[in-house]
Amino acid sequence: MTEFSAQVFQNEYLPAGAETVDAVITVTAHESVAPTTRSLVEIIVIDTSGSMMEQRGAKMQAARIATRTAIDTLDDGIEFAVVSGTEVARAIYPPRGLAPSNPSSREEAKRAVDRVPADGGTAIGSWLRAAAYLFGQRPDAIGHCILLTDGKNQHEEPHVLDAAIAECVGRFQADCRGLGSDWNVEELRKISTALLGTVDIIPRPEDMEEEFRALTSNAMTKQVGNVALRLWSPKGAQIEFLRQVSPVLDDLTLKANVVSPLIRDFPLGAWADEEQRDYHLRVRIPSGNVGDERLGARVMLAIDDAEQPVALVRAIWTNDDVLSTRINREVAHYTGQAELAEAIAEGLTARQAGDDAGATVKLGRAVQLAHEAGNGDTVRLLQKVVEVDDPATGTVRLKRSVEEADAMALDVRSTRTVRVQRG
Amino acid sequence: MGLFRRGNKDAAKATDLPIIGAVIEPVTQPGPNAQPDPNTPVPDGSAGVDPDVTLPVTAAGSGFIGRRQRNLLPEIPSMPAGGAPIISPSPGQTTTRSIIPTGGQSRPLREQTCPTCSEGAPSDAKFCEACGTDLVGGEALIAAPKPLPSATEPCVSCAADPAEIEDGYCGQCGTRQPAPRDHFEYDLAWVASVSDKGLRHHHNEDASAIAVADEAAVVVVCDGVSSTSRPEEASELAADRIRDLLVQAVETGAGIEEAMRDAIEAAHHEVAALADSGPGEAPSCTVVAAIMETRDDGTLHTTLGWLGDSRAYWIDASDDGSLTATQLTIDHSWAIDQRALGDLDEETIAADARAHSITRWLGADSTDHTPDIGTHTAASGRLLVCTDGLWNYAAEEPAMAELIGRFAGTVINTAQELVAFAKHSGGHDNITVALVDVAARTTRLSPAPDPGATATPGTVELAADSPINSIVLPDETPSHNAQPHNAQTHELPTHETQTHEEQGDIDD
Repeated sequence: MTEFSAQVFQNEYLPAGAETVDAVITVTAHESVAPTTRSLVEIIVIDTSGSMMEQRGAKMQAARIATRTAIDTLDDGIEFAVVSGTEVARAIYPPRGLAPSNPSSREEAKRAVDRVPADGGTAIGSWLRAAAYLFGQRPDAIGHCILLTDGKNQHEEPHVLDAAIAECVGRFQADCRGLGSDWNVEELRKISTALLGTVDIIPRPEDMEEEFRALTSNAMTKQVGNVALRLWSPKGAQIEFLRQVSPVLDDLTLKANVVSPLIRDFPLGAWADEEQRDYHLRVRIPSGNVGDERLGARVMLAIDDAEQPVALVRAIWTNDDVLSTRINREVAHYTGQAELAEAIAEGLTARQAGDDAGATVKLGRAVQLAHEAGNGDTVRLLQKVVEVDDPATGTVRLKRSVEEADAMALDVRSTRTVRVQRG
Repeated sequence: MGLFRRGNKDAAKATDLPIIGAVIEPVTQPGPNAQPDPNTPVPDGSAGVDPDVTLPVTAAGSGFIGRRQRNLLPEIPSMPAGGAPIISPSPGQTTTRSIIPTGGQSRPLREQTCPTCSEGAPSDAKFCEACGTDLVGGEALIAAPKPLPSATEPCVSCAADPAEIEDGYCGQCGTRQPAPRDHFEYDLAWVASVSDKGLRHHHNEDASAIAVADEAAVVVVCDGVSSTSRPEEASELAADRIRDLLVQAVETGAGIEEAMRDAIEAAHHEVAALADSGPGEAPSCTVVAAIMETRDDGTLHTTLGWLGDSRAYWIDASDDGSLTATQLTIDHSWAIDQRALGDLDEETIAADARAHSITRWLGADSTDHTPDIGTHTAASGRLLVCTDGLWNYAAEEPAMAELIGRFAGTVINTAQELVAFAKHSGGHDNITVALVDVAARTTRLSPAPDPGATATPGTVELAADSPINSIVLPDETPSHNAQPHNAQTHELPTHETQTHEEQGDIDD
């Protein structure tokens, strides 16, 4: 059994009349003595469209190797399937349904992967529907999907993909990977965000094997599925946003499921033991009188039907400026990280639109924020797009020639945050 | 990329692979195994969870409480000599009261004196004719807290059903419900105390207990040490226990100084025992306990015992009529100890992080719980006992004298105003103020009111020459914030921001 705890970081003191309450909530899953009985279903969907045969078949060959590695990584007993994605989804292994992982099924699966051809189009919505169908055979398990594509969703109308995503929400989690630079970041981000997974670029085919190994290993650490952050907020309150701020930014606000008039559930997906994530909540509540104390939110965790309170977000109105003007470090840090991601997104958009001045300002601000936060990984990604003259002031120049893959890497990884320095 | 390109010759034909789930129109003929099992139902979308798995979620506290820091006077006060000039009593009045008799200790019937107003009464009188005090239950009057909102009360803010209130917060509007300890008052007319959680702390860890026994006032004030666990239990236990033991001592005529030592020693052991019943640092608190007796010659004799940095002041009038305040206690704090040792200069002491730490307290981890015992005798004056939540804003004796001089109401009114002053000054800590004014005891009431007089229900009219103009009867429905009925109006305290700034941020 996994147990959860939560810690709230906030300045609960508000000046008279203020209505906005900010808090960072750190949720931790703790390993406990009781073993977990929750099983995992792993489905690997690989793009087998004709474009995978580009680079003299190197992409397809890398996909085969990576998939073989992922299969070998699976522990015995985990049920799995490998799916080929073109304009239609086809079973590579097993021919029907799911197979339990064991030495012989893994060998069979790898042989099937070796034989899979690459020929056809790209209709990702059909892949997702196929995965949902297969996961539906084990509705009690934690469902995890690795989805690889090298291209855009060309053989399907966008609304068909959207409808497929909507069908899959809450049924499994999907980590999406784009190979090379011919795929569309927004398309995959849409899927991974809705399905509580991650999105990233695999710039070179040879990087794929390690990525698949890591994704599979990580999926197998998950001990508890279907976790939701349950927020009670008072009458008249409005949840302005709830976003995951660590390890990556993810706005959960619109994913709320209404439990009762004052209670919303925000699905968090599956958790591994010792996993820790940070959330930034901003709630607007009716202002109290000076000296009043009110709850901005009760933070609970809901696992299946079990609900447990973990923390309180409070508001106390005061005339004491010393108290109300204090800035909470965690809230400030993650507000800065969100601003950083926004500056990158806006800078890249401006750059694509040919607005060099706008792009320089935004990406310069991004460099400055990443530098201040000690987010070295993001600074390095930015340096592939801009020449940094002075990170402290955000003085940058746009690079004249930029590898498309570098711009895409900056785009997909702009939401990665660094944790606030504590202690 | 939508390139329809033939794969290598070794690979199977794409069309040989089965289509999954038959959710889109196949563009090529599926292989022999491609048809989904028609008996396998398509999931309805509610897939995903194992109802057998339930997960306890553990709560974790938020926030951090640092070691209690205390502000100190820069100079060491000395025990004053008695015999200060008499000041005219402040126009006092009794307000509502709530009294529970101690019971058990009945004395031989004799000509008795009302313990509240000192009016004489026949030995068989059940009530004091002057003020209505119950004379049967026992000699000692022990103040009990006034009724406060409980679990059966609706939300104080939105009147939501009591069932909505969880952990002290309303389930509708989220408003924190007042806890009994947030603010409480005891009022025995000439002995009174007010305690408040202040503006910065979430709980009131101070406690007070007062009693009137055999014409002597018993006052105990305790300040729970915030950095320990359950300090509110320590302070309440200590205050109540010491009060009870002191009342017993007064009633049995025991040696007061000895009784004071014994009472604090007994309370220390009970507070220390709290540490066994839970985790965390041992529950701890300070204490100032006082007994004020009126001697046969009319002088006021006060016996004090204390540990920590809660204080007692003697308030009296000087020759020119202005008030003086004399600190009767010496803080047990690191800074005071260092000054006494004389090894360090004042600057070094003041800059030390330990300067405001207390060095003696009640509790299991106390290295020295020997109380200081002091006595004070004066012809007149008032006794003020308070926690640092008050004296931090008026630490120096002249400042305290000036502060008290602003208020001229009843004893309880003055205590209320002092608490209000501390809150207006920042309310950084819990505030507890106890006051004893023997002059308020000697107030006499006129005979029964004229039935024809237009009196507010629940009040009686007083004689024209009375220093007060009405009195709320000691009735069954004391209000939480009884308003004074005294004719004299006094303005709310003016608050010198300078005082606050000088103190700086003294948040724990």
